[in-house]
This record gives sequence, structure tokens and C-alpha cells, in this order.
Amino acid sequence: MSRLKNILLLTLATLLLTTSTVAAEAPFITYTFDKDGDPIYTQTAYQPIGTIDGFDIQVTTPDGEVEEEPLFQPEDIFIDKDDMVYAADTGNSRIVIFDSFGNFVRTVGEDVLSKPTGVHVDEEGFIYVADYQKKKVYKFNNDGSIAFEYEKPEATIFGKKSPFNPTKVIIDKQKNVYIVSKGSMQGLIQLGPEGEFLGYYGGNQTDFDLVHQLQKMLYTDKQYRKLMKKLPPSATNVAVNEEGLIYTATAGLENQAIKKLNVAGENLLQDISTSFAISDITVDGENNIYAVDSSNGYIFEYDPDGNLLFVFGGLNSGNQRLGLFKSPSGIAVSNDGRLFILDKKQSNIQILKPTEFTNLIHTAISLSSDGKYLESEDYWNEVLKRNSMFSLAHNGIGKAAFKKGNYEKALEEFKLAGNNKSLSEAYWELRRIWLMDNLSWVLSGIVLFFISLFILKKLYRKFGLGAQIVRGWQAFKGIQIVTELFHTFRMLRHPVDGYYELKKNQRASVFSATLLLMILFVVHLFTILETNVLFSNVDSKNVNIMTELYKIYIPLFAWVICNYLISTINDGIGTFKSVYVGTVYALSPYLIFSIPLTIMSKGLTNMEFVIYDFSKKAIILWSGFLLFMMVKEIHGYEIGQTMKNMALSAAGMVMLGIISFILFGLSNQVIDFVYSIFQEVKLRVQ
Amino acid sequence: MKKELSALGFVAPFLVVFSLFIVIPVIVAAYFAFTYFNTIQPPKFIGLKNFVNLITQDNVFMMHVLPNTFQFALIVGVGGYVLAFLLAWMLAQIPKKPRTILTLAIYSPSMTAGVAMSVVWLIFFSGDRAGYLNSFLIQIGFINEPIQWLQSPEHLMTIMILVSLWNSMGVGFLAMLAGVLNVDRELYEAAYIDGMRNRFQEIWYITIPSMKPQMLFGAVMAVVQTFQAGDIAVQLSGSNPTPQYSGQLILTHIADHGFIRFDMGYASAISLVLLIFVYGISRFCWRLFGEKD
Repeated sequence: MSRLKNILLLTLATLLLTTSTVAAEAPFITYTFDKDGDPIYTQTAYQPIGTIDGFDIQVTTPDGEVEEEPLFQPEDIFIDKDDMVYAADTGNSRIVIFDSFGNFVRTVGEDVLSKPTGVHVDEEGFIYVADYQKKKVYKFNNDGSIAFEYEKPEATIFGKKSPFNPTKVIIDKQKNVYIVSKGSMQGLIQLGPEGEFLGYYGGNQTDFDLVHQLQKMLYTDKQYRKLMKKLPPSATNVAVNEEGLIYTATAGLENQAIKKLNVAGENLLQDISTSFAISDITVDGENNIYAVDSSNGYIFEYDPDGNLLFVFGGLNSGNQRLGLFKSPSGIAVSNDGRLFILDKKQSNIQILKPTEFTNLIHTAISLSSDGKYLESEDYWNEVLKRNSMFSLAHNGIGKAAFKKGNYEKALEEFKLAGNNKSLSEAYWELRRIWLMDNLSWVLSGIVLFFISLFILKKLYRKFGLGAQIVRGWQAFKGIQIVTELFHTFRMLRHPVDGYYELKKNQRASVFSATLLLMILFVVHLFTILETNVLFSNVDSKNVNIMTELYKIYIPLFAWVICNYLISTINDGIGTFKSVYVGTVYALSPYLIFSIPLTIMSKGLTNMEFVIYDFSKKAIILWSGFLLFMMVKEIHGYEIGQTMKNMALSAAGMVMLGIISFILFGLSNQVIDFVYSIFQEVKLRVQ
Repeated sequence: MKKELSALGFVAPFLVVFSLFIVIPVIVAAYFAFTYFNTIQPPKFIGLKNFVNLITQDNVFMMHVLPNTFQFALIVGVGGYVLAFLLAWMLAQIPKKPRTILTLAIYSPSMTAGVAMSVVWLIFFSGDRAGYLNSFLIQIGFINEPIQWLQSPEHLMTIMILVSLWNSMGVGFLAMLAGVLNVDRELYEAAYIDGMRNRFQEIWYITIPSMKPQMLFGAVMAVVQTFQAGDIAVQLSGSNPTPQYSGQLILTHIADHGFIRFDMGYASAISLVLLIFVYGISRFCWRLFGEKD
């Protein structure tokens, strides 16, 4: 939902900034999304080209006069395979048929229908109409005579009390009828061609609710029945694609508002981001999904996998411009890709034509989803020429490159598209190629290394070969500052002794701790910059050194200060210096292992994520443990006291944060105040 | 010289059996690792090719088997080890009678693993509505449709880990219990006089250092046990390869290549790699817990 919020904000901002005539053709802005899910402008995807309002519908009144009777509060629209447009003209109790240019052809069911809210036409030309008031679904022959009436099923499994209020209807390949019925929680009502009840289909689910479960367990049946029942919402609208897969849209659902259902009624789409008020969906011949939002007037377009392609449209707040809507209630797409959007309040149908840019994308998507990545590459390149931020295009080009075996290019493109799964696969292939070329070298190198190490050891023991180097190394280790720095290694294995030596034997100094603190920053920078993109969520191009500096040092010093202050009033015996040195040394695991881990991450793919993840967590846990031991040993606490002290220190850090925030804010005020006095005085003096 | 000969005479039966059943098979397997051997034709020497194939060509090994094995070994090995020590230490704190009963109770899963598998786990995680877990979850309304626990790639690994942790309290656990119980009580008393203040210090300064041999034994057992666990995936899912290779461990992979595809040379190569793994990790444990001298 945050996406929607972003769009709203952006729309508002653009409306405020540019009052009028920005887009001479389309009165709205089209958005798409970059790899981080942030909205970005893109070329106009659809341009309004006209409306159908039905003023050419001529009706002869009983008096013999001929009157115009335009559409009135229409609720549903359908386009059949011959591009004829069917509108359920709810207010006028009829179905109106237009040709694809919007010319009125004829009406159907004028004497029969009462409140038709849904219309669908099957491949043989039968017209199905859901009538909400008459609680029936009518099947008309093409000439307008009634062929069949679907009524409330008699079957006991349908339930005597179950409501049958058909609002929308569709037919699948087997001529089964799917009815959206207001108030049916179990799902769509599925009827056979002869009206027999087949079952409920693709119902929504309520989320698991712990409180409700507890109530169910603890209350008696009587008490439980009195409670407000939690019921799943029924679908709002439904669509069917050429293969016979059924799509439902549900207004008011937070998750899975748009679903693509398989035969078993399971959702095939990932949870796709959309709005709360989807009133209609439709699917074009290439399985792109279009949805329309009745309260904000937005139109969403998704690719067959449910990736959001475009958001456009907007609310008509009285300026009557083409391309804005008041309460769009239906959407349909013609064979040539034009969108027909039915507006209930404006009582018209607006026609939007895809731009060249959109056509390009559609072609590319349809090629990609058929697996013809190579053919789609040119189209994607063309798309990128026009909008280099279009992440789906990067994805498509990446797939083409992958297919061609150009894994390096694929890697780059997937990185731009933010497609981590394919990125990992490309990386995998690159690594495999590298291994094929170098594996024998590496293996023999490792064996040679161990053999030579073994021989050198033997030689040293027997003949004292290289004794000077060993002596030199020991002398080097003996240098004060080196010993102090190497103390980090001792901390790893013997934290308690390590802290004891820190305290008693002066094994570390403020100088060495400060030096380590500087190294810490370098290590941190290295980690965030060099970690494999698969594992890091940091964009290495957007790293700001100052921010990172603050991120590291501010919490660290806040901790040192708070811990010292808290422990002085809590019988802690540690001095400020020892808390500082101890804290830095507690970060030894991070200091020592982060760089090797970062280098290792370069060789890993998503498959081996568990190794990276485990190591990372181990480092953090280890550092946390050392910090705990630090507090315990430095201040001479028991375990309970240590925990209390650490909790208090953490609370202290929060307090410190709040206080400094207030102080900062106030000091700004003071500076402002002083400055204005200065200005005042300056003016007066002059 | 004579002395040595008589000593050799004493160990001869063991030596013969040991070399017959352990040393020779290992050497033969190590040789097969460098050959192409399909059990019908005589083995054909192909040098390092098996190993190179293993790393560069065998996608299943690199994409599923290695990561799975690492995940499994890290959680079950380390987790089971820590659990074994904690349980042993806690058991040592209670009186003898309940301790004996509890010890038996905790040790029994590792003895009865085979039976429990068919009686408990397969029914518990059964994929239909009647499976205990499914039935329970449906009853409280958490799920509407039964989940295929043992056949779905997302769940198989988790279940393997759970079941293995459950029966990981084996010999290592018993050894650790013996170790904890055998720490000299006087050491604790002496330490308390010297200023030791709490249980944590007890464990850290006395219990662990005094039972290093048992800790080492437990660690090595844990390593061997986790790397040898391969059957569990097949037992649970009922198929090898496991569904979408989600539970494929090194041993399952060896069985797959050796006894299903009869590619003995390749299977031997994987076994050799496994041997190197186990040896390496055992060395690491020695470093950690072994006596210095």
C-alpha cells in the first residue's frame, strides 16, 4: 500500500507545482516503478481518444415520439472477440451494444431485465447478464431472445439460507457459469451449463486471528455465536482469459486483492500491490491484467506475472477532462489494445489508446513470456532508449543475454533490474566458468601449499631453517602496540581472561583502542561497499561516508558514556577508560572476521546464502557475548546485575538520544532568536 | 623384539578385522574415486576427472547438496551439541533416581529412531487431513487445506532438522553426562573459597575444563553423526532424490549415484570428499577441546 501512498503524494505534488497544461494530450501522469519500488515518471502510456455516452440511442416512447436515451449509471462492460462492446446499462435496465468505434448497434433485454449489473458474452455469441434485482442470470441468444435462466440452485450443499444475489458473471471454456454473488463468503458460485450447482470457487480467506481462536476455545458455543463473526469478503469482480483461467478482484482486501486462479481455485499470482477499491479487472489477449480503482480513478496495468507496469488516470473533480474519471466501475480491452473504461457517475465510456511506447512494451512482454527472450531483446532496447529506468526492460535484456551465454552482461542488467533471483543464477554461471578454467590450478595449489608448509615445519624443527624469520616475528609481536592490537585475537577464545589481562596487565591502551576504532570504520566501509550485491541491501553508489561515520561512532560513544554513567551509580568498578577500551575490544570478532567474510561473500550465490547468513549472525552474537562479558568483568558484576546494567545502559542511550534531539532543536531556536535580535539591532542602529 | 612380537600377537585379531573391514575398503574406495566404475565393467582410471566434474558439472551437488549439508550440519551439529551439554549439565544437578529415569527418557529417541520414524513422525507430519499436525492446524483455523509436509520442498528441511535434533542425544550426550558427574566436587568447593560466585563461573572455569575429553568426544560424535545423517531425508520423504532436492545431503547424494545409478567411481569420489570434510572438522574440534600436549 505504501506504493499507492507514494503515488498520491506525487500526484498531489505535481498538481500543485504545475497547475495546468503540462500534458496537452493526457490529463494525467503515468508512473511505473523502479527496482526499489519507488514510483518514477514514464512516458504517457495511454491517451484518451474519445467517449461513448450513447446519445445516439433512439427510443420510441409509447406516444410515438423518438427520444434520446443515453447510458445511465452503467455498471459493467464487456468486449467480445469481434470487438463489439457490451455495456450493462443498469439505470436503464438494458444491455447496450456498440461497435468498437462507439456507434450504437442495438439493445438487448429491455423488457426482461430489471437491474443488470454484469454482462459477459461467450464465444458462440450468447449474452449472459447478471440481474441483481431479479436474482437471476439470463442467457440471451444473439437476437435478444432468452435462451436460459440461471436461478438460485436447489442443491442442499448450496445452502438454503445462502444468498444468491448475482452482480457479475463469466463463462469458462466448459460453459460453466461463474457468478459473483453479493454476500457469498465462500467464493464464486459455479454453475454447470444447465444451471446445476457445482460448488463454490476461489473464495477469499480471513487471516488467522489469535484472539478469535482463543475466544473460540474459551467461550461456550452460545457466547461464541453472539460474537461478531469474522467473515471473508466476497469478490467484487471477475474476469476470464483466453485459456479459461479466472481472475478475481476484491475491494477492501489488503493482501491478494487481485488473484489469478487455477482449476483448483488456488491463487497463482504473488501478492501484488494495488489499491483497496478495485472495482473491475480485465485481461487482454496476452494476459496483461488491467484493474480500475473506483474511488481514486486510477488504472493499474500489470504484466502476466503480476508486476505493475503502469499506473495512470485520476479523479475528475469537476473539470470534465477526457481521461479523468468520477467512479469508474468497469474496464474492458479491445483486441487492438484500446481500453474502454466505464464510468458509473459520468454515465459514459471513455476510450484510451495505447501509445507507441506501450505497444513496444506489450510486444516485448508477450515475446518474453513465450520464452522468446532473444527476439524480445530489440524491443526492450527500444523501450530503454525511451526510458532508461524501466526495470522490466533491464530484466528482459538480461534474460536475452543469459540465453546467449553472455553472463556478464546478464549480471549487469539483472543488477539494474533488481532481480536477485536471476542475478544469482547469472553469478552462478560466471563462477562455474571461472572454476572450470582454474580449478585444477587451485586444487594443486592448495595441495602444494600444505605440503610445503609441512616440509618447512620439519626443516625448522630439524635444522632451524628460517629461525631468523621466526625470531623476527616474535620480536615484532613483542612491540608494545602490536601486542596490544593482537590482544583482539586473545579476546576471541578467552574473553574472561582477556578482560582480566586488559584490566590488570595493561594489555591494551587507549591508544590501541582508538587505533582499533579507526580500523573498525575501515572494516565497516569495506563491508558495506564490497559485500556481494546479492546479500547486501546497501546501494554502494549511495553510500555517504559522513553518514556511515555517524552511524558507527554515535551509538558507540553513546553506549560508552551511558554504560559508564549507569555503572558508577550501580557499584560498577570500571573506569571510563576501561569501559571505552573494553567496548572496542568486545568488537574483536567483527574486526577480525568481517573482511574475510566479505571477501567470501563474493564467491557465494543465493544457494549458499545460509553460510553467509550463519557467519554474519555468529559474528554479531559473539560480539554481543563479549560485550556482556565486558560489562561483567570490568565492573565486577554478577550475571543478574550485568543484565540489569545493560538494559539500563540501553535505556540511557535512548534518553540521551531524546535529550540531544531536544537540545539540538532548542539551540536552533536560540540561534534564530539571537540572530533576529541582531538583525533588529542592526536595523535600529542604522 | 620378542616383546613386540607378543604384543603384536595380542592385537593381531583386531588388526586383521580392522584392516579387513575398515582400512582396505577405504583404500579401495579412494582408488575408485579416480576411476570410472559402473560395477559391470572393470574400473577405468580417469584421474581427477570425477572431482572436477563434482565441482563444475554437478549442479545438484553445488546447488543443493552442499548448502543443504552445511545448513543441516550447522544447526543439528552445533545445536545438538550445545543441547546435549546443557541437558547433561542440568541432569547432573538433580538427585540420582529421577536423573536415571530422565537420562533414559532423553537417550531413548536415539535408540528407537527407526521405530519412532514410522510410528511417530510419519503420522505426525502426514500430508492428509488426518495427519496430527495438519489436523491440529486445521482445527485451530490456521490453515484451510492440509499441507504436504514431507513432500513440499519448503518444509522438508525444517522437519529433517527437527527430527534429527530430537534424536541427537546419543552417545555424545551420555559421555557428557558422565563427564559432568565425574568432575571432582572438591574443585567447586575450593573454587568457592577462592571467590567464585555463581553457577556460570562454575561451568566456565571448572566444569568445561575438567570434562574436556568428554566434550571432545561429544563434538566428534556430533560431527560424524550429522554428516552421516542422510537417510533421514529419504525415510521422511520416501524417495531419493528428495522432492526438488530440498533434503539432499551428501550421503543421500552418494546413495543416489552409487546404488541407484551405479556410478561407483563418482560415488567414491563424493565419499572421499565427505571423508575430508569430517576429518577437517574433527581436527577443528581437537584444536578446540583437545589437550595441548
